[in-house]
Amino acid sequence: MTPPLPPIGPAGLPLGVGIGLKREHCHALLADPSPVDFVEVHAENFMSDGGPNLALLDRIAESWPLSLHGVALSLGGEAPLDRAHLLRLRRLIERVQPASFSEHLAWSSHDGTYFNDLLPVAYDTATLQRVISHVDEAQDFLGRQLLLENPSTYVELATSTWHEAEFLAEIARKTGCGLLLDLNNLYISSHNHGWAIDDWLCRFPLDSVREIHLAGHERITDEAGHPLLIDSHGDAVSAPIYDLLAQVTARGGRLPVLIERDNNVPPLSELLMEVEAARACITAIASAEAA
Amino acid sequence: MQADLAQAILDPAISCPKVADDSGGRFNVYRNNYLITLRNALRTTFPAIERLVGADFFAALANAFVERHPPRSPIMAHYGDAFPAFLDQFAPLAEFPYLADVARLEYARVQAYHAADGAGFELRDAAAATAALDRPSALHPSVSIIASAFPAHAIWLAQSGDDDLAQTQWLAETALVWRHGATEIVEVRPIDDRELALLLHAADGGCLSALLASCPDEQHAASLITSFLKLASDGVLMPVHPPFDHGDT
Repeated sequence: MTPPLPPIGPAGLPLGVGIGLKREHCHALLADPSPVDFVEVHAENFMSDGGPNLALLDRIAESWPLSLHGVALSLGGEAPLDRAHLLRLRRLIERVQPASFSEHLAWSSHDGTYFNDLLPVAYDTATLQRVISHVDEAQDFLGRQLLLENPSTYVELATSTWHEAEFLAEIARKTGCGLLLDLNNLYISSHNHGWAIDDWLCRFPLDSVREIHLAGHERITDEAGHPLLIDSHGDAVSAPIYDLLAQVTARGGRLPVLIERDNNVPPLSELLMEVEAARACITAIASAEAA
Repeated sequence: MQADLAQAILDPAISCPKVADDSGGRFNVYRNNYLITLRNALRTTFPAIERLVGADFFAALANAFVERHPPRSPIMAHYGDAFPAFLDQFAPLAEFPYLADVARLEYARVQAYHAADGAGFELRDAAAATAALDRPSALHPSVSIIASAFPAHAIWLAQSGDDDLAQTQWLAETALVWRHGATEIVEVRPIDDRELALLLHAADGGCLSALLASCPDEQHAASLITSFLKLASDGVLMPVHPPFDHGDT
């Protein structure tokens, strides 16, 4: 018996569990797409002029609701948005009509150099105005709502005057963008900067969240001997992240949940066990609520 | 402020800007991410170079390259276009002048995979083949021609585990890199001077019949036609204009 398809959430993604699609799993999953409810791919990996890479993306988009996830728009950058990059994004969006498009509260380019990383922004009023104008510009240019993801950070910037959760809330309120709540990022940043997660979540508008990310992190020791969490995407989702998922689901209801794994990619069967674990976590809360 | 942070990532000699709380040297995570992810991007594009120089040397080489050539584009498939020329200039590798051409070949393979599509010749029958000889042609967008003073193709092939370099004669080699239409197959093969001349003629928009007119003898002409048809059916060459549909009107 085919399990019933999960209902579609407000951003177009199903209220189920998806995975970040890795190339090594493409073949097997395309042959049987049923174990995952949706997939996410990084937009920048599919910015080819033609050929098999775009054909693969077409097949992926035909097989699942697609979350297109950008990592290079530099919405938090001091520089104007890169129009050429926006145009590449728009072409991809027009081609595959993803259910969702998301990006990060971060910067990755400066003065023409691309840093291939998501760098921290200052939570001050000048940055807030700039990010709002960049999100407005991107949404206008792409002709759709984007989801903005909370970052994982290792340093705090001295000019910050806003609480991160309120900074994100204000951007969502002013631009109408949705939010992507990365629970691993929240856990990492809270740990690294000594924030209280409960307090963070109380300030964060859960009703603007359209997708949740789960991932694994790495624990290292910094030069001062203090533990530091690194957003490695190289390990299974850990127990505290599932606890957060249960907490957020209890408060905000069911949301599309995505499992990210970019390094030490395990066999597909292992990732699918994590998909099942996430489903079980959400279902347990939903059943408890209904009872 | 981002200028200060950017500068501190690019140049480890510059200490972390005051604006960031760097207790515990945490800013170094960003410096490391920058180097490691770009080194990995280079490893992905240049695996034969990594095998040729060894993993440790490659890591140092990649660091030196990243320092001189930070990425200008967010598309990692294009990062490393300056890597072959960098190898040419890199003094510690002066004794290995063939490396740059092997790198050119590897970079061309990645670009071929991502290149635009182009409709090839349709060679259904003899009549279509004859008609193709009179059509102005062009190189498929995925095509690169790597002319090397060294047996760069043979060296690359040996590093890819497909061949034994012991049998190779140390001669100049020109390699052709292209993708078979919309498939995933990126091919690399050596070409001779005759094929090279044919490809350069085609790249200029010339049709084969013009080249045949200057052929000294029939044997030469016949071999040119054979080469042309092979290159056309392999999707290296394509007609400049899409076939005009005369239809039934």
